[in-house]
Amino acid sequence: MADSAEALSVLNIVKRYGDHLVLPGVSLSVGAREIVCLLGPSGCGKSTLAKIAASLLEPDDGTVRVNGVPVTAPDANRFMIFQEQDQIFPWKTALGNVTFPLRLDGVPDWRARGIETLREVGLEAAAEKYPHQLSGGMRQRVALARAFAMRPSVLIMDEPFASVDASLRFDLQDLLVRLVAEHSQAVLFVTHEIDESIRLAERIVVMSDDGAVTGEHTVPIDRPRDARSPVGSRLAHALFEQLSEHPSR
Amino acid sequence: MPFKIPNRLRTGGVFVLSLVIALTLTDCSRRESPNAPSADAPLSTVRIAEQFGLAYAPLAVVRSRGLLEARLPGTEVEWIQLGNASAIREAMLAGRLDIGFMGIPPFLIGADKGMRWRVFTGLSRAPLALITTDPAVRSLADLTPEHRIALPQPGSIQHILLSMASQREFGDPNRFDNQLLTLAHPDAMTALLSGAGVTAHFASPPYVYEELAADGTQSILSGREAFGGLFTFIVGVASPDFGDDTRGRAVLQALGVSLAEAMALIQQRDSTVVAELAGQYGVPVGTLQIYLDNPELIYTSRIEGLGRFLEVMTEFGYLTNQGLRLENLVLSEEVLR
Amino acid sequence: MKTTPRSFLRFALVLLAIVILWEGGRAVFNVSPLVMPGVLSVLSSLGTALASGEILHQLAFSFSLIGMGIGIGAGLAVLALIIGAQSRVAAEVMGTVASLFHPLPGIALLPVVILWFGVGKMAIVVIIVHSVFWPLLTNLQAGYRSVSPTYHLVGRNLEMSPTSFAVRIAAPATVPYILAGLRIAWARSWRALISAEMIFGAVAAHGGIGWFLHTRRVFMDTAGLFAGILVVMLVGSLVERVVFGFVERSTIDRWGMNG
Repeated sequence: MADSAEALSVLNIVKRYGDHLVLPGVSLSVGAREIVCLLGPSGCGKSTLAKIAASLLEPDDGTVRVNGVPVTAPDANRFMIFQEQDQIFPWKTALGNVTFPLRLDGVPDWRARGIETLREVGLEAAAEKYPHQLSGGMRQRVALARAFAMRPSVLIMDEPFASVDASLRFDLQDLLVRLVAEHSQAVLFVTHEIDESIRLAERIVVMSDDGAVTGEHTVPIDRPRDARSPVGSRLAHALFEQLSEHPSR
Repeated sequence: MPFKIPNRLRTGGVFVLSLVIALTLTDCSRRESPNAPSADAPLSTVRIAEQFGLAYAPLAVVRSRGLLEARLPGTEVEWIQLGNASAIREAMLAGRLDIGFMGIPPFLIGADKGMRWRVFTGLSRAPLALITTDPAVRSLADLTPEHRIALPQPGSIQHILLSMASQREFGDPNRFDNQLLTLAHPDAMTALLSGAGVTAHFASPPYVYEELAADGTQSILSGREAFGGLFTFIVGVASPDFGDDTRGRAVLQALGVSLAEAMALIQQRDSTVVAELAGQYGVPVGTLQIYLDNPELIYTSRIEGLGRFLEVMTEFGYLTNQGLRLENLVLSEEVLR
Repeated sequence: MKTTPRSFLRFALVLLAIVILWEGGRAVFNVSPLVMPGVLSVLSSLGTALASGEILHQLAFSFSLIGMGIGIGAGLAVLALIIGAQSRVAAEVMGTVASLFHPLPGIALLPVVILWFGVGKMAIVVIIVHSVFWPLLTNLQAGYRSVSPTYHLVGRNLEMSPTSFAVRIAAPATVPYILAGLRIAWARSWRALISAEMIFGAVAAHGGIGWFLHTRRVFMDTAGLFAGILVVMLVGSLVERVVFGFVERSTIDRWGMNG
């Protein structure tokens, strides 16, 4: 369950694009070792919130705190993983991609750590392969490995598995849960898939399509989880109902 | 299937290439077969190439006055301006040209390589000069290997004259060959006068006048000094076999008479002709008068210096064909009478 | 394009076909060697020029000019790209200037170049720089614009400085555009160089391959002329296929970035 110390918190975030109010004052927090899913329909502003949480986008109002300290500039300690498979570099091998941030950071045993992390995501055999030689799922594994190799305290993930085949998505979700258990990151995971949020999250924050937080659910299911269990089904139904409401209309 | 298309393309390419070559060949054959020219060009057309410069003035008069057309009723005269003797030579080889005007050395180079073309008239003698803007250069001996000498091209009359002077003074005709710069006269004059890296320019009229009129220029070698006497600067050349039949002979005779008429008009300083020429060369009438009054600029059909050029160019190794005889290089007077 | 035994065979067959057509045409139509020299005399001319070192000497000179021109042109293009990246106005002005100058053949600039830079090596280098700079700049700008927004986010997330981002991410991400630009730059500069050398002559001892052609022309050495043309063709396609082929195989082909 959620740690009492909040690794990441966003408070009263307001964001406008021109006249369009995307985020009307959103607050949420993620505890250390906690996976929080931000669940909402497409275009509701959840990606915007994720970028603001990573300080890759500046809010019009509100603050972002990491371990209680306000932050405004991005840093590798809040590592963001994107949906796009081109987030890993085609001109670098899988290992080259994983070690890229380590070498930038001057980590002395970058190579060993890179290989170790690739092993954790099950890609050690593909270390010298280039991304175009890998499947979409393998590429997102490389992206995961690149993030975990840096041992960030917060991971912000913006629908990272959305572009991967459904059959592979389960594996990636399980992999993520295992990695978080081993490395104890705080994870803010953005998704529009109810099942995915139930499989992953300790806590699910629901965002409506006008950018407001309309509900919060803890997920009382033991891992490994089955989203189709009775508890899961009930939760899924509740989430579905909530997403179908249109409070703004 | 990324390989399919290149394959097909390449096969197509081979086909097109073969076609092009085949067409080129048929075209060449027409040009080259000795009896073809009369069939190729309709009898009613004669094609004449000139170059730019004051030494070509009589041709300009013949052209603008329609003197040749008047003497050849029913014949269309096509005047072509070409940039250098090589272009004229190539046009003749391609069967696209009947008559061309050029310096003697490029003519000899063609004859040496087996072109059976012949000189049928002289056109002009002209003051040529190697002109420098460098006050420290007072003679050929002052030219160091770092100095650059601009002239129209290797094998041009200017180049051969320089070789002759250099042979006489230093016993080495090739002494300056590694510092030559091939530039058309206008570019060479610009480069010389703007101090853009040209030490000296071997110029012909009108550039020779314009350069000498500029501040701080001097002539370090005249064409006459280099040659060691008088020589014809520009000659008229009939393409191979042209003039062997009555039609060609008639054209050459008519051109000879037209040129004589034009030379007389220039000699008399016919005011219309002078004004026309001034317009053509882009100078005021008064300036053109001064240019024409230069005693070394003489329009005459006499051919001088052909033998001497043949001799020295053979000596310098530019001509290798031992079979070249003067009488084969000139259309005899009788042919033209 | 890979050099496979098959493509080599095809190349040899095409050559053979050309030789047969050429010689056959000469024989059938009785063409003067002044217009179309025999293949053997062209080859013997080529052999002589190769053996005497003249062609290699002139080629080396030509390549030194191209190298210098491409080096300077590429440096200036990168500089212009950086300036354009700082200011939108500068980028727009450059875009307009590029659209005016890009279509201008380098050789058309020759008279002005002589006025401004004289008639030395410099003039030819300037013409090559002109031939290289605009296509390279246009491609670099297109490449820069094409750098994925995700890369920018990744770069900022990793706290990379603008320089570090440019070198470690933007540059490799732009390699397909850089190579395309260099290909155009090479093709244009090779043409410009030879035209310039032919018109300009440079200095006799160092005239480059264009000068080699020019002297064969004025002295009416048709076999030598064709030998020179052969060299220009071979060198052009050698650089195109072997040099660029190698670079592309070891970069964008390997990275799967060749479209």
